[in-house]
Amino acid sequence: MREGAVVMVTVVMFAVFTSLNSGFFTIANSKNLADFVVGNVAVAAAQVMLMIVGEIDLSVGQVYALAPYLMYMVYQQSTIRYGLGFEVAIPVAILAAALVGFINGVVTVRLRVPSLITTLGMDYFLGGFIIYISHGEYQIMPKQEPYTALFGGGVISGIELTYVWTAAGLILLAIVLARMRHGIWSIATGSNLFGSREVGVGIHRTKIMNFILASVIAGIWGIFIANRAYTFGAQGVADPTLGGDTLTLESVAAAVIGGTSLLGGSGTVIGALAGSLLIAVLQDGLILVGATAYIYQTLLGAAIILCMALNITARKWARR
Amino acid sequence: MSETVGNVTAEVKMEGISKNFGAVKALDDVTITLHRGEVLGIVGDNGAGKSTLIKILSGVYQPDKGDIYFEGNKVQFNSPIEARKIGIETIYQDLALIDDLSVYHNIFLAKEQFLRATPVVRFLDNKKMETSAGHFLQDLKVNVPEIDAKARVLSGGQRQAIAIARSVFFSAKVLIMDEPTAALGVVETKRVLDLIEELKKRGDVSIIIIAHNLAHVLASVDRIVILTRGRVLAERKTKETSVDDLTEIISKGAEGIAV
Repeated sequence: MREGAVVMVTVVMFAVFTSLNSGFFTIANSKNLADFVVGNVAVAAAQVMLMIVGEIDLSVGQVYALAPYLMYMVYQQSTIRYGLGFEVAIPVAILAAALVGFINGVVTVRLRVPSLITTLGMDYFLGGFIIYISHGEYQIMPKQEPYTALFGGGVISGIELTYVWTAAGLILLAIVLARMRHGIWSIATGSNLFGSREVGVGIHRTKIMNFILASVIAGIWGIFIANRAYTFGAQGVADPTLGGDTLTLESVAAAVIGGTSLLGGSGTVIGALAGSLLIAVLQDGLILVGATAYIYQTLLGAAIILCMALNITARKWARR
Repeated sequence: MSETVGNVTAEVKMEGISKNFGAVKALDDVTITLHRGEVLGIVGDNGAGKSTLIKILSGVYQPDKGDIYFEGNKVQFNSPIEARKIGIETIYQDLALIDDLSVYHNIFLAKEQFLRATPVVRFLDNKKMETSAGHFLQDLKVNVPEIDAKARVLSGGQRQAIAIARSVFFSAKVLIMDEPTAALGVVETKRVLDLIEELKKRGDVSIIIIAHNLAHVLASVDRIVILTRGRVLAERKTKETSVDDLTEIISKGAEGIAV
């Protein structure tokens, strides 16, 4: 199993942190872990979909920050002018995210700019754009039901709706990969581009779809997290500095740690989940044992390389 | 109207085909016929025009002069897709399979079967694809480790056999195989030749094989066309010739001696 390495490393880290701090293996702390995972696992899974077709998206973190801020801005304008709120603001924010993905995709497949470059450019572009429209300041997210509750501000029988959506989203992506043509075409496109085109797979369409998917997921989960504070009675915020490159790199790290190949053709949703969990365990465990933030980065770096090395070695053994 | 020679119908006829690349005459007034259910070998030295001829038939190149008839009707292909649409399939050795997909997903790639045709969301019928691909390969006596194994684990001969089977499964009428056994060992070569033999028995597909290796070709083809310098040098029925005979024709042809 491709996810074997990451599961092994996660279990070892779990054991280490549990022995170092009795507060680690507790219900209260598992909520901390879950909170972290729920913030970025969907984006990591979307990154996996892109890496399966042999591409990457370095702009997801900016879309994650842009969508809630756009939602806030459109809300302000449309309530003043037309007396409409989130029923306009949310579609606009999601469409904007989709547009970013569409541009990433078209530039990559039609103009043949490598996606590493396309989305790096998009990352800088959006990063600057968000600061420009927000002056770098966060805003209180307005509240308008039922939209606020549906988009991350609501709780259902003690569970945040964001958890429900995240679980549903992951299951949906896993179904797409295993049981739908788009999943098979994604694997085919990433595994053998010309062979796929030869038999009639829509390789360009498949890639563009996954770019749009990644952007839309990043945008929607950005909105969920922006509304999150409403779940415990505080006010949600549209924070232009949320997400960003940290989230982007964590999504790539989670995908790679979870066994997704950079060369395309392979990757799983379970892997993205395991990768996200490993990152969460590392981050949270280090906070509990009182380590500094720098140590977290250092160890995450080591974990990425270790998992990759284990994956490759395991594959070699499997072939014998 | 099908053109009939004796009681054998012509599946494909390429008539008076010429093709130049700049000053190079790749093909000069070449005429070949492929009968229905027949296996035709095309041999010749490098630069004899084999590949150009086949690329014209599969729609990659357009001829400067000459006509192509398919089942008696004049046809013209502007792309490989157009040729494939009417049933002319080319098997390429390396491009054929997707390593990361199972054998049955490979066979059904871009021709997937769905669970009930719901208009918006369609789910793959993996079971049905797996079963019918399995039965079909069994029919053709193509051995694979497991039908749900990834193509990555297959040998070269198995890959080739599955690529061929895939075309036949989706009712290709003419199969063009460019050096089908070039990179294969003895056992693997036999695998592919056995499949060609099996297809011949079934008789519903006509095959063109391009090859360097005369010994292989001779074992499985009905007729051989020898090309030299863009012209048809000779044509032999397999029963009436031998490797030595053919080798002599080719080498004489290379020296420009009329046969």
